[in-house]
Amino acid sequence: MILATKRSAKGELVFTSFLFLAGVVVLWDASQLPELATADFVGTRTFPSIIGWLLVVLSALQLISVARGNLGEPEGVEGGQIETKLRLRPFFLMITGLLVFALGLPIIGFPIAATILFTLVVYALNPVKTKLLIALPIAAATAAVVYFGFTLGLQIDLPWGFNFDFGPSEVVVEEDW
Amino acid sequence: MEFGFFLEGFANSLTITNLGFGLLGSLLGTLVGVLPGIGPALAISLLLPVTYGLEPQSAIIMFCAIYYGAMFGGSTTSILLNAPGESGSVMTAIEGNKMARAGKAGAALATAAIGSFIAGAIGTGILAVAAPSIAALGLKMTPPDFFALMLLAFITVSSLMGRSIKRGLIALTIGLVIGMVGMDPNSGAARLSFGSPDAMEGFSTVIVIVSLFAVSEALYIALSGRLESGQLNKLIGSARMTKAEWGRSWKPWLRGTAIGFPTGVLPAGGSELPTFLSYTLEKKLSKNKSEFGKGAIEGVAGPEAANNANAAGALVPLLALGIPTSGTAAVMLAAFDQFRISAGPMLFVEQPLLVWTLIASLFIGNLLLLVINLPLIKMWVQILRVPAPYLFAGILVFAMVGAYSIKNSTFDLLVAVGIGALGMILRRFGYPITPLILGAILGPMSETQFRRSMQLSQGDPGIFISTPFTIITYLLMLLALGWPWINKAIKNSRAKN
Repeated sequence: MILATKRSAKGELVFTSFLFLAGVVVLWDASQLPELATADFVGTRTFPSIIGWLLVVLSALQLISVARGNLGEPEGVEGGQIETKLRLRPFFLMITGLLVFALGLPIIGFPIAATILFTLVVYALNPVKTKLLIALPIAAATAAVVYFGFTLGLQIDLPWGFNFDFGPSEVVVEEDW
Repeated sequence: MEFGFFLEGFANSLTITNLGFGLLGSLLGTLVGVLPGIGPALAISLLLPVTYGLEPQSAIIMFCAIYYGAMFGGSTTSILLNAPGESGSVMTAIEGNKMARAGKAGAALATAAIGSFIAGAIGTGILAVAAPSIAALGLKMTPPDFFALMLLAFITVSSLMGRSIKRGLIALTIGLVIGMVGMDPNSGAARLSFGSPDAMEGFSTVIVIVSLFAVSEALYIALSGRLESGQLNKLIGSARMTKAEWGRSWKPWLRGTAIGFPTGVLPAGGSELPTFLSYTLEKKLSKNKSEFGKGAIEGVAGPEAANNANAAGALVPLLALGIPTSGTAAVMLAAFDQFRISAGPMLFVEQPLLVWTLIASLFIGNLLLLVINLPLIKMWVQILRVPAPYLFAGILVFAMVGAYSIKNSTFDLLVAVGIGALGMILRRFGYPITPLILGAILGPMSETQFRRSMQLSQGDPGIFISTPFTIITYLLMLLALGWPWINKAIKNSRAKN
């Protein structure tokens, strides 16, 4: 077995075990639900328990199948090719961009968060040919168009950012009663 | 057909607003069909948050036009670039690109567009006739019947998508788990929320779809894909066919329609299966078998008709029964839900004008697509010159804005990243995505039908096989589940004989 296949087999075993555990968690969560005597003859635990058992049984069968060497075939990419070797750097760049956007949006605002996300995605998908001097202005322009299009055109509120709220600014004078 | 309503619907669909949204949808649909990595399901789900303020009728007309338009547009990149912009156009690329290389791009594009138009028109005609009758039958269906139908959709989509039934079923179950997060519909007890008030509200369908299509695809390409610009074939002259090419195309168009429509009605998971079946049939029936693989026009005409007829077919169970049979149809169901319109048998009773306006708009949209598609091909080709990384970056920004704008919540953005990462892993290990989406959207509805059934029977599970319809449906389900083994047994016995 070549190294890439070995790694993929290990990865799939870990993922299938995670699915098995997820099934156990669903069953545990179902067991914690209050069993109310409702009029519809189906308790709160019934449906989640069925789904939980389904995931546990299917992932257990899949675990055996993967351990026997029945590995999944990676899905193809529209307009591209699949490579056997994983490229972790571009992947982490993109995840960073997404997390910066998700966590930073209320603080740094949409225009900056979207510019960072756009630039990192372009760079992650083509690190060799991407020129930051070109990508950055395009990213900033896209962010501006989307921001004004959404806030002014569609009346959908997007944070501008840097709106530090230090509490009420007026001085409250206590009056004597 | 209720002819009065149909005429009224036609008049309504010809208003400037509805025509405008039909045209916009046709253009957007063709665009997403042309662009790789973005299909009609993602396009509609990206538009869901920004169409909250629209009239339901206009928004749904636009969504249907996108669905049809994507099928038209997908052929352009298949033929000129050998890069199908949409999964239903994969088969078109085989012969279409070879035709383009041989200098016959115009004929390939013309047979694809005219075939799509004919299939769309016939399909919409059958939809107009069949949907009301099926809806009338649907009114007589009981909760156990609906539950059985939903299970059939789950099982067939899971077993037909991807290479392994087990992987399809696991993807479906993950979707059911995602659909279960939030409050129990009856008691209000928190399920899989782990104390988070944000999770108690459940995951929005839009977030699930957007993250599974846009975020997961981009992450997947970053981790293990390589985007290629491809060799663009030149389109010399205009998109036209000779008399001989017309003669070779019309039968495949009709056969493609005959395959595409019923496979759209049945829960077969989308346009991959009918286009494959149509291509195989044309190859078998063709008098020019030696041309197949080198640029046979029948191999373009048949699959292109099949994918458009499939889109029309998928609207029958969606409108008449509220059952989606493909990923895009599932997203359309979410769109109906957004406007508090329940797709299903009652739609024809409660909202006849809406449904007939929609059907009439499909006829008009189909004609618009034929008119705008061929003259605008050179413009679509120009759009393909936008480098793919910039395209994906734009899609991701738009997807994240869509996810945020639903509740202005950063929690939703984190959910989108999490589900996107899950989708990426599923793609990496060969799990199909469509069953997951179907599970997430149809799961809560199947739970409702399950509870209603149990309520009717006062807790007796025998109700699930109490009608002839349920028994037939479960038998079909067993057939779908056992099909790989049955097929294998037949092949073995043939080999022995």
